[in-house]
Amino acid sequence: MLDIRHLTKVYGGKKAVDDLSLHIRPGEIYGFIGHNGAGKTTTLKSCCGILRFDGGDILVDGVSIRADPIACKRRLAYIPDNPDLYEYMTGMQYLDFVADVFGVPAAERAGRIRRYGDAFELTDDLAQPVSAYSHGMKQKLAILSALVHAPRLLLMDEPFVGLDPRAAHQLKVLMRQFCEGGGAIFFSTHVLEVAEKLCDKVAIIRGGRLVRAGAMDEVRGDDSLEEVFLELEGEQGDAESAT
Amino acid sequence: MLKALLKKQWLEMTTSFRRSSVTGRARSGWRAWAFLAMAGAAVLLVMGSVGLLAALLCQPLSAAGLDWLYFALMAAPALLAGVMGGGFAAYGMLYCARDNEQLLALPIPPGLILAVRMGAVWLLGTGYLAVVLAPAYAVYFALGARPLRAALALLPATVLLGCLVLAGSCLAGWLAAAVGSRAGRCKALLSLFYIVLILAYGFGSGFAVQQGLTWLLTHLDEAAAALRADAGAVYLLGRAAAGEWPALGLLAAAGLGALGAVWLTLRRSSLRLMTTRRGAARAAKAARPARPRSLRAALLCRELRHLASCTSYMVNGLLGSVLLLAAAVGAVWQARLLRGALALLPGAGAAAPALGCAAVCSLVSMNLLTPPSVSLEGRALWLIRSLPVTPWQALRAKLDLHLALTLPPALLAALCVLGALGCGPLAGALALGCVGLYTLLAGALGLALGVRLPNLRWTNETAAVKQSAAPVLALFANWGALALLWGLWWLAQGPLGGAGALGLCCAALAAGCCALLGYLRRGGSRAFARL
Repeated sequence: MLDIRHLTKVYGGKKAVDDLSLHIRPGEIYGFIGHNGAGKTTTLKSCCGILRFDGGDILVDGVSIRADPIACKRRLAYIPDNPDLYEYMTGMQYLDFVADVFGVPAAERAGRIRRYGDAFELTDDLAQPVSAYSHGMKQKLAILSALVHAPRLLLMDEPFVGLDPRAAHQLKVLMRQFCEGGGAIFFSTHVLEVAEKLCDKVAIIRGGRLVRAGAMDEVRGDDSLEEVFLELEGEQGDAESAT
Repeated sequence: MLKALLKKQWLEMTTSFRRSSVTGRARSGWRAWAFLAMAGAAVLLVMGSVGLLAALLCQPLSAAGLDWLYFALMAAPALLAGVMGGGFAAYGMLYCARDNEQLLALPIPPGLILAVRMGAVWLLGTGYLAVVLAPAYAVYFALGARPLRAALALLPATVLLGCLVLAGSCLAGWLAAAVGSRAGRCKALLSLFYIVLILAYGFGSGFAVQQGLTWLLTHLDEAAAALRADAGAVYLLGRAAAGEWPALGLLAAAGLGALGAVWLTLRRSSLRLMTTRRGAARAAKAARPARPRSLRAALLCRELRHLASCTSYMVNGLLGSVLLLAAAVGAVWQARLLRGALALLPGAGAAAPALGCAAVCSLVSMNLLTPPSVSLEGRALWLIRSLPVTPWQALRAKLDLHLALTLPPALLAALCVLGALGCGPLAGALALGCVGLYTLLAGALGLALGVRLPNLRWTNETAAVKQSAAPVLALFANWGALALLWGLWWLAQGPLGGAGALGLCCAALAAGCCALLGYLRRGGSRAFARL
C-alpha cells in the first residue's frame, strides 16, 4: 500500500530524513516513533505529497508520488499534528469542501458524516464555525474529513494529541476497523503504550535514519517498547558522542 | 519586559525585510537589498506624485505670504491618509493579532501589550503621514519663503501629527473591533458597509479638496481670511506645520490630549475585545451536508467564504467593484452631463470609447483580490496541498474569484459609460473587449505577483492583505499596464483610427493575458507547489 524507498530529504544541507525505506501493507497499522525532530513529520508530509524530497521514491498502491501526486492523494488522507483548518468555514462546510474535492456522492457523504460525527460526538457542533472549535474538536474534524472520502491509506501525525479519552478510544476502534476493511495506517506517536497495543508493526527513527523496524513482537522482544526505545536512544547517543 | 515586547514588535513589523515570508529563513544580501529597493521605489513613486502637487501650490501661496495655507493644504490630506492606513493597521495589530492569547498568558500587564502595539501603529501611521509630508517640506525648502523655520518644525510637527493619526487610527480600529465582535454572521454585510463608508470618506474629502482648491485659486485672500475665521483647526494645523511655535504648542496639547482620551477608552475595553468572539455564537440549527459541487465550484466557494470572513480582504478587494457599480449608476444618471463634458474637449468625440474604457479600467485596477490570496492561505496551506488538487486548479480558483466579482460590474459599468458617451457599436464592442481582457490581465498579474511574493507567516490577516509586497506592486503594475495601453492607443489612433487602435489594444491585452496565464499554469504552479 505504501512503499517508501530510500527516502532522503535535506533542509539547508542537513539531512532531515536519510535513506529511509519502509513498506506498509494493506491491513497493517504501522507505528512510527522517534524523538522530537527525528524526521517523523517530514517523512509523513513527504508521503502525502506536501513536501518534495531530494532522494528515493514513495509509492502509494504502486503509483509514484513524484510521477502522479494527484492519483496518490486520491488514495490517501493526511491528519497533521496541529490541524490548522479553514477557520472561515463551519465544520459542515469544511466536510462538504473535502467531499466535493474527492467527488463523494451526496448519500455516501451524508452517511459517513452522520456515522463518524456521532462516533466522535461532533454532529451537534458541525454548524459552528471552525474558529469556535477547541483543539480537540479541530482534531476530531480533521479525522472526520480524512474518513469522509473513504481513503485506502491513512497518514496520521500524533493523532491522539488533544483528544478526550472517549474520542481517543473511539479513534483506536476506528483505526482497527479501517485496517480490517483492507486499509493501511501509518502514524507517528510519542505515546509508546498506545503504539505497543495498537500497532502490528513499528519503526523507530533517530536523526533521520531508521534504527529499527519490523513486527511489534520482533522489535520489542521480551522488553516493553519503551525500554527498547530508550535503549536504542542510549546506544545511538553513545555512538554519536564516541564519534 | 518592555524592551522584550518592543523587540518582538519590531521583529514582527520588519520581518518581511529580513526574512523570506515563505521559508522563514534570513534573506541573502542581494535579495534583502532588492526587496528594500523595491519597497523604496514604490514609496518614492507616491512621494514624487505628491511632490508635483506641492510644487504647484507652494510658490503662489508662499509668495502671497500664505505659507500656513500651503502647509494646511498638505497636512490635512496627510492626516486623512494616515488615519485611513493606520486604521487598518490598528484593527489588525490591536485586536486581531494571532498572538493575543499567547501574550496574555505571559506575566505582562495587558496595558503594556496595548501600549507597545499602539507604538507600532504610531510608527506605521507616521510612515503614511511622512509619505505626504516629506515631499511637501522638501518642496517648501526649495521654493518657500522661510525654509529654516519650516526645517525646525519638521520633526515636532511630524511627531505631533503622528499622535493625531494614532488617536484617529486607534479609534477607527476600536470601533471596527467593537462592531465586528457583535456582527456575528453578518460580517460580510459589515464589510460592504465599510467599503461604502470608505468611498464616502474618500469622495467626500476629495470633493471638498477639489472645491476648496478651485475657490482658493480664484479668491486667494478671501479664502485665507475665511479659513482663518471659520476653520480654526485648519489654520492652527497650517501654522504649526509652518513652524510657528505657539501653534505647535497648541497642536501638542490637542494631539496629546486626543491620544490620552483614546488611551483611556481603549485600555478599559482592550482585554475584552481581544478575547471576545461574539461572532462565533452557537448556531441553533443542526448542519446538513450540501448538494455536491464540482471541484472548480468547490474551490471557488472556498475562496468566496474566505473573502466574506475577512473584513480587510473584502474592503481591499472589492473597493473597485463597488466603484464600478457606482460608476454604472452615475453614468446612466448623469449621461447628459458626461456628453456635455466630452463635447468641451477638442477631438474627444473620436476618443470617447477609449476614454470610457480607460476610466472603467482604472476602477478595475483597484480590485486587489488575487494579490493577497496566496498569502491568505497562511498556515492552512498544507491542507490544499494534501488534497488531490493540482496547483493550477488552486490558483485558477483565485482567478475565478477575481473574474466572478470584477467582470460583471466592469462590463456593466463599461456598457453604461459607453452608452452614455454615445459610442458606436464597433468601437463600443472593442472597448468592451478591452475592459474584459484588462480585467483578466489585472487578476492574472496580481496572482503572479502573489505567488512570487507570498507572505505566509503573518500574525494577522491585515498584514497579508495590506502590508505585503504583492498587493502594493499589483496596484502599481495595474496602473503601469493601463498607462502602456493608453500610450499604445495614442500612438496607433493616428494611422489606424480610434477603433483600429482599440483593436490593437485588445490584441496586446490578449497577448499579455496568454503570456500570464501560460506562466501561471507552469512557472506559477511550480512556485505554488514549492511554498
